[in-house]
Amino acid sequence: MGTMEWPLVLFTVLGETAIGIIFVLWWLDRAEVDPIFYKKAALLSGLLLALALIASLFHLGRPEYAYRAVSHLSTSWLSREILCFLFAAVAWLYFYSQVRQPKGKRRLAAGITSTFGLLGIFSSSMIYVLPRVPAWDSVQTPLFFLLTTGLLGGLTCLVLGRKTLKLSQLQELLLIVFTCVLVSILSFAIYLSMLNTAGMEGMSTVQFLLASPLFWLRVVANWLLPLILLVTYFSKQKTINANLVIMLFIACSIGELLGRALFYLSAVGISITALK
Amino acid sequence: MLKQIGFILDANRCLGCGACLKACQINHNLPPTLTWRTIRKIEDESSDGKRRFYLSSACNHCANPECMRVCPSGAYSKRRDGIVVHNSSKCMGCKSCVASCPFSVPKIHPETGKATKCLLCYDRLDLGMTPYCVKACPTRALLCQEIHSISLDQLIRLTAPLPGLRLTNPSVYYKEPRRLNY
Repeated sequence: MGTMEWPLVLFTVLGETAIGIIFVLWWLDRAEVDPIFYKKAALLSGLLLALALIASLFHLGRPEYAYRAVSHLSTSWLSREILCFLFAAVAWLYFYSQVRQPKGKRRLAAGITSTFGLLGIFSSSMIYVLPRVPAWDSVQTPLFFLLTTGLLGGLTCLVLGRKTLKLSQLQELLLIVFTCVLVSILSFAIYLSMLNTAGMEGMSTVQFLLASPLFWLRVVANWLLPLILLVTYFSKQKTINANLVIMLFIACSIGELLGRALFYLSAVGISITALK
Repeated sequence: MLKQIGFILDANRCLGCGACLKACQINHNLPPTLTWRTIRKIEDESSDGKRRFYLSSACNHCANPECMRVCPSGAYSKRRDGIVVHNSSKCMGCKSCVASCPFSVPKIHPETGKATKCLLCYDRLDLGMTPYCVKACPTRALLCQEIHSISLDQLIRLTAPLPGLRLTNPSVYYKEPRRLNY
């Protein structure tokens, strides 16, 4: 069974949220967006990105040598991840400088930053696509990472802009969140069924997940509660209640953190011992 | 064909005494909680009979090492003689190699926080000597040879259940343990 990797849980979830926020800002910027909301969200994304990068150092046995991580770009996804996140951090500085200017090219800067960030998240997920670990070795791993980006990025922007964004913009964000939750539920069901056919190690992961109270807490926080809240909202189509947004954000944040912790905890690696 | 040095273990001769493991641990100054070599007792039974043997294994010095592919700092390299070397001065302890090796070979050194593994005593091989583990084996069950120079027909390898993992192509061979009909 895997180990609890809190630095990696924080790095991936915070990093994905930060990039998600910038991506959503780029998306919303097609129409007029409240400048105070935009500035607040941009600043928060930078703060989260910085926290994520700091958290990642605590995973290393020797953090002082972290600069060496970019020296094997030809085959190592970890090298590519670090490089992309470094570029995203530099691009964020440019992005924030544009946000502060009244006529800055903030949409272009947000596009550049989120492109590097999304490449970083994809590289991040590919680190875990290892033939040795059936729980990670599938297309689901990049999908899970990208879903976290959309879900938490969208929800953070919803929370920050709940009073200042237009109703149409808030509804658009809720639709993104709803899509992410639905795809997450469906893909996880497929993931569990695929794991059940992935040999002993895959079945061990399934058994671990189903027996873990953390997994069931995640089911409620990440899927059931948001689904009930969102279906109720879409069926009534009233104005967006601030409590709904905050509840969704808290539930999904807890769910995503638990989900990522379980991702590391439930990994069972194949250890070759059979002679042939 | 490229040269490839590897271990060959005669599973019928191995007593599981642990002399190889201790010799490696002592001569490489490894802490008590860390070993580069492991010994597993294996028992299996089929219609052909029972077999019980010890499997002493260290790094497989694969032809296509996963550790070398995933390492972000380029700490792993393959020498011209096929030995997979880990350069600890380049390692930052990210544990990528630990997660990816299908043989669970690289381990984190508790004192340095960096990855560490069997280097096939390449410094001794360069001087014409044998690795410490081979030298310590009392039954000559463990040998170190250029594997392309011997007939591999009667030898077997550790084999993965998944095709993706077989691609690492390990360079350690085993003489098949006999089955006992009783």
